[in-house]
Amino acid sequence: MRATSPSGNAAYEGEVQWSGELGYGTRAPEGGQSANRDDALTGTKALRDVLESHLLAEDTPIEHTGMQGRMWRAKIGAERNKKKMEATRARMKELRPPEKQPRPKRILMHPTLLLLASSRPTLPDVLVFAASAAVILVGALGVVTSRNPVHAALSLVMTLFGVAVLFIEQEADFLAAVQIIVYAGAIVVLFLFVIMFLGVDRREEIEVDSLVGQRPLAFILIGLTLVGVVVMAATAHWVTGAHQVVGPIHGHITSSPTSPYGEPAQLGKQLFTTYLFAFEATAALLVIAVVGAVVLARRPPMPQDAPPEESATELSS
Amino acid sequence: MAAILFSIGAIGLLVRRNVLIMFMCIELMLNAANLTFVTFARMLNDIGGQVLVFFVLVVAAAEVVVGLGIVVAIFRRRSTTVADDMNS
Repeated sequence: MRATSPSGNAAYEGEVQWSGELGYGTRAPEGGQSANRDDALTGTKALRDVLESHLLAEDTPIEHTGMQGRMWRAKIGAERNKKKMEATRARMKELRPPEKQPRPKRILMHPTLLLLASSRPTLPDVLVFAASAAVILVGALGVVTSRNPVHAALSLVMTLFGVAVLFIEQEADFLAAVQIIVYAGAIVVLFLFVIMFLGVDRREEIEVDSLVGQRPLAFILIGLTLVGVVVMAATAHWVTGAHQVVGPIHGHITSSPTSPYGEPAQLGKQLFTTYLFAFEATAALLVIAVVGAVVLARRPPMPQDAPPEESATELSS
Repeated sequence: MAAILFSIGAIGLLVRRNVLIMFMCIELMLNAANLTFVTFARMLNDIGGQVLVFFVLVVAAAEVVVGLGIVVAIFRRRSTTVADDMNS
């Protein structure tokens, strides 16, 4: 009795025929007898798996043609690409320039708005800045757009007070006081004196331009300048200057830290040592200005012809 | 802030024709420069900025004095303060 393999008859595909002694018929094939290669009974693996194990093994000879080659190329190509990509990524990471310091995103941390070098602007700082900025802007617009020169002078006082508040916020107390005294107290008063003296509190026409297109041209030019300055401020590297070139604002003159110099004292110290020449030149300038003003405003003793030329020649000699 | 103040002063200087108001616009621009100086003095913790503000203040005062003297002298001659009419 021998079981023969199927001889190709389609009806008996996958089935084994017995010989005559045990009776004709068919039965299910035993292990190892069927045409299918993935018979689990005999442990025969599928061709696919066999090929895979062959293809992945390093020492087996690999064919480069046909189905086997295509499968090999696909698999090996994917693996190699993965390794290459990872290698490239690692190299790129090494070669990439070091990351810049992350810029602070909040507008309050912008360098131009940082009020204290060592701490963040607090809410009172922001409020004071906002209030004085509003005062300054209203005053400046008042100076530029008011028809009456007296109104313009008063708006100028408002602006100067706002600027003095900002000075105090920037820890320049002495300068704020000096500004109030000199600017708002002397210069604007001088303006008002001259206005009253000349009697020019008439209304001025501000709708008519002297040149053709003067006002739009002024707005455009100055607007461009302002935009340029602000863009430069926002994108440049601030604080590139050396710190404390001349001297700290709150410095120590002696070695003991319990007697710190205040700001006016430091200002005076630098004024009389480092900037001594400028100080003396400023004093000379003030004297010249006073003399010039006296000469310019001098009334001629007698109604002669062309008194302004006389004062001009005196001034130029 | 200082840039805005400076540009407002500059626009006013170019648009207005009364010399007195033009002087005030010059003062606005000088104040804007002073504000910038003081801010940078604080940022760099340097007193040099404040010294410069001091000098700018003094020079501005002297300039106003001399300028107003000139205006007074011219006005006495021509009895007008509009800058356009001052071409001699």
